[in-house]
Parts: sequence; C-alpha cells; structure tokens
Amino acid sequence: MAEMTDFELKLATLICEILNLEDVTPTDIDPEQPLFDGGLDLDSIDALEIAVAIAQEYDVHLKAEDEQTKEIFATLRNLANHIERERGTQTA
Amino acid sequence: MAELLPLLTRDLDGIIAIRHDRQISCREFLVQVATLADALPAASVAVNLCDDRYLFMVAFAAAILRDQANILLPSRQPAAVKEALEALADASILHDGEFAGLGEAGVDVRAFGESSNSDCGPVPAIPADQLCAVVFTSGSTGDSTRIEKHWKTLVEGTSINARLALHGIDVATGVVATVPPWHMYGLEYTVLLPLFNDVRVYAGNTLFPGDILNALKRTPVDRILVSTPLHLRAIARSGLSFPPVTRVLCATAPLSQELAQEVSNLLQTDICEFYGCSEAGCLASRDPVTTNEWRFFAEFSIDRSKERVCINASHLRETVTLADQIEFLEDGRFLLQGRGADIVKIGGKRGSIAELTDRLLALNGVVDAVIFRPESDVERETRLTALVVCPQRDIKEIRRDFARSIDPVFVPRPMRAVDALPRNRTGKLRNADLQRLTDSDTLRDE
Repeated sequence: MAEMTDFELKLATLICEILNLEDVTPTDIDPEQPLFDGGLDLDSIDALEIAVAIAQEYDVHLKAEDEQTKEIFATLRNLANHIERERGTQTA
Repeated sequence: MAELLPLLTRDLDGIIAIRHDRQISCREFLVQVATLADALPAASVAVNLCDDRYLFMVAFAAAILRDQANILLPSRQPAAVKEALEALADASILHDGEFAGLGEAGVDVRAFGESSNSDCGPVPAIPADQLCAVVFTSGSTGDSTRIEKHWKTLVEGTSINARLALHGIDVATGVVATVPPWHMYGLEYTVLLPLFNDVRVYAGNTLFPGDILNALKRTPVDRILVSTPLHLRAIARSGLSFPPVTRVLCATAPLSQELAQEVSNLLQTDICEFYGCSEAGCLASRDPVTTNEWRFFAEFSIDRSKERVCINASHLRETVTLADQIEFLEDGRFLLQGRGADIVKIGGKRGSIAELTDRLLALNGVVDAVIFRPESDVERETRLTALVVCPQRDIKEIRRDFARSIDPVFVPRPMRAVDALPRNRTGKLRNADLQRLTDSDTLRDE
C-alpha cells in the first residue's frame, strides 16, 4: 500500500466521517486505489456528500462537468492533490 | 386507423436544448433524430445509455421513430449494465462514450449531435399505442419490475405535468436538472417537457452545486431547476451564491419545510414539490414552504376502498396501487405516511428490505442477519443498517460479496458483525432493540 501524506490522512478522515464508513479506518484507504467502482465502492450520493464537505472545509468547489473530475475523484491522492492545488491558487 | 400523436408540438424555430454553449433549435433536433434513426441497426428495443441529457433526448426520439422501445436501465453500474445487456437479445445500444466497446450493436450518439443542418421534414407522428419506453421499479436487486410506457401515456402525462411546472410562466424557459433523464421523474420534466413546450434543457451533467451554478449561469432565460431534497440540501450548504430561479421542482423524497424555506430564500424562487411513482409518473403536488398537505392532480381518480390507495387516469393503461400509506384530509387533501415498512427509497431507488435480507442470508458464512432503516432526520439520505451473525467470516468479506449482487445505494452502512440478534421469544426483531445493539459497544471483535 502506498504511503499517505498528512493531508491525505486528514482528507481520508473527513471522508470516513461524513460517509459513516464505520468499518473502514482512514489509514485503511490506499491513496492510490480507486474510491469508486471497486476499492471503497462509493456511489454518486457519496460523491455529492464529499463534494459538499470539501466545499465547506476547503472552499474548493468541484464540478462533475469538468472533464478532469472523474480523474480527480479516481483516488484519494488525486483528490488531495487537486484540493491543495486549488487552495494554492486561491491564496496566491 | 390508429391514432397518431406528433413527436413534438411547438414552434420549430424555438430552442430545445443548450449543449456546450450552443443553442439547438427544434429543427436541428429533428434532423439529428432522423439521421440517427436511419443509422440504427434493426432491433426490437433500444438500450438508451446516453449520459448527456440532450444526446439522451436525441437517442430517445430516434429509437421511437424506429419503433424500438427505450430500455431505461435502473442502474448505470458497469456490472449491472453488462448483465442487463447479456439478458437482452435483439437490442440496439445507444451510448455517448461511457459504454463504448459494445461491439456492432453499439451506436455512439455523439457523432449525431453536432450537425447544425436545420432542413427538417415534417414532424413525425407516432402511433398513440406504440410502446416507447420501459422503466424499472425497485433498484435493490436484479429482479425489478418492468413498467411499459406507451406514447399516449407519455404525451398526456407531460401535458398534465406542464400545467403545474410551467404555471404562470409564459416565456421561454430553461430547464437545469440534477436528476438523470433515465429515471421517470427526469424523463418527464427534462426529456418530454421540452418536446411540447417552449422549454430548452441544459444538456450537461449537473451533480454538484458548482455544476448547478454553472448551468444556471449558462441558461439565460427564466429558469426551472428540476431537483431532489438531496441536491437542494447540497446547494443550501455549498456556500455559493446562485442567480435567481423562477421555480424549483422537487421530487423523489419529502422536502422539509425548513429546507424548502432556505432554498426559496437562496434562489429567490417558489418551489413545487411532486409526489409520484414510476408506474404513474407525478400525480400530486404541494408548496412545501407553506404546507405539508398534498393534492392529487385533477386528472387522477382515487379509489380509497381498498387497503392500499389505487389511482386511475385516462392516459394510464392500468390501475396503479400506491406503495405509500396515505391519510386523507378534507377536500381531497392528504398527508403521506411513508411507505409500507418493507419498502425503502434511497437515491431515488426503491428497494425491498425483505428481498435484500434474503440475499444477505443466502451468502456463504451468514448464520443470521437483519437489515433495517435507522431513525434519522429526513433530508440526509439514510442508508440501511445491517447486523450480521457470521462467526466464520470477516464482515468485510461479507460486505464485499453482498455489494456485488445489489445496487450500491442499498449496501448497508454500517454493516456490523454481532454474536447474535436480539430476537424475542417469537423470533421477532424490534427496531428499538436493533438500534440499541448497533449503538452499543458489545459488538463482536472484528
């Protein structure tokens, strides 16, 4: 399993909390494994919950319409990188 | 001669859709529909897997022109789609990229949605009794019931829906939706409504609040937002500011008065909430800001003589028995008392707890199990909870096996291993005991 950065762990904790994933601990999530379709088996209701939590927590607004959103949501790592990049451009 | 009803009844120069910032006229739409219809392989039905709302609409109409009923699968999970396609012989498959690689039966609709040729012929007429769409109830297992929609039912149902949805709006209207076009509610208000009214539909995928904001900004006419409590809750919590909306339509689950008020303020809008089912379409409405009482549409006749309420209408082929318990008030107003204890609705899909429990019990290593719906506030999509006695197997394996055979929205969360279920002497389980066990710390070590 790939190692997790501090921010990835924080994000994993947020996801487990809002999705009520009681039998998954944040450290169980492999940052490079798919979140949807296998892996954690999340669905579009979860995607909506995650998007709202990320908006509230990090003021980053995801759009399903963007071509790269599928890519962003593919893994915890991609999602974490995207949020950090967006926050970087906000403060820059 | 058989009765014919046109595919579309509106000014052909009007705009029917906004896709990739392009306004598409009814003429262009009709040309694209005719071209695609000509290109479809011979088949008895058409599986419409398009994701883009406009391309879905082109595919929907083209299939009808070829007398191929649109099969609208309840789940777009790749495994579920594959299974359904294997079970269907003699079907053409219309997709817009997501399900590419389907072999010769697959037609990529994207290539047909770009033409700006507006030289359409006369509007096609469709036999009123032609089977045009097949939708499915219960998404919980593969054994869902198929519901057939004939052209007359769709056309007349749309006219009933338009009366309320467009009441008081006499200008061109833009529809932005957060619901998929392949569920009955989305089909009615985002695919059929634009065929018979001066309505242009936004084609893009509008799942997240950021998408909805973007779509509203790109729909510069009177706007209607077709949505659900789940999405409206996400909008209200997003922290984004939205342009005003003329009307919000809401269905699939009850909208609380608090959230209705919040959305009404945020979008400076009125809200029309619908109650319906896949069998009959929308059949009652209310203004959730001011009342919790529903009123049936005048076109439906209500039979209260049986245990379950039955409804009928001239455009429906069969009497429909409602799954919900209804408490009647004066003047035909009523309150919804929720579904029978067995039926749950999650993510707009209906599932049977009994059916799901049977599937769970059938899994290898499951000695005893129960699935129930925990008590919770209304707006949050309440997932099911499961308690499983499985001394020989890891609960995570059980969860994985179970998830393979059912729609993911019905996978219980949490799903916990316990030593035994709190059955009383008659073997029954009470919700309160189950909740207490779920909340307690006396769970079997995992």
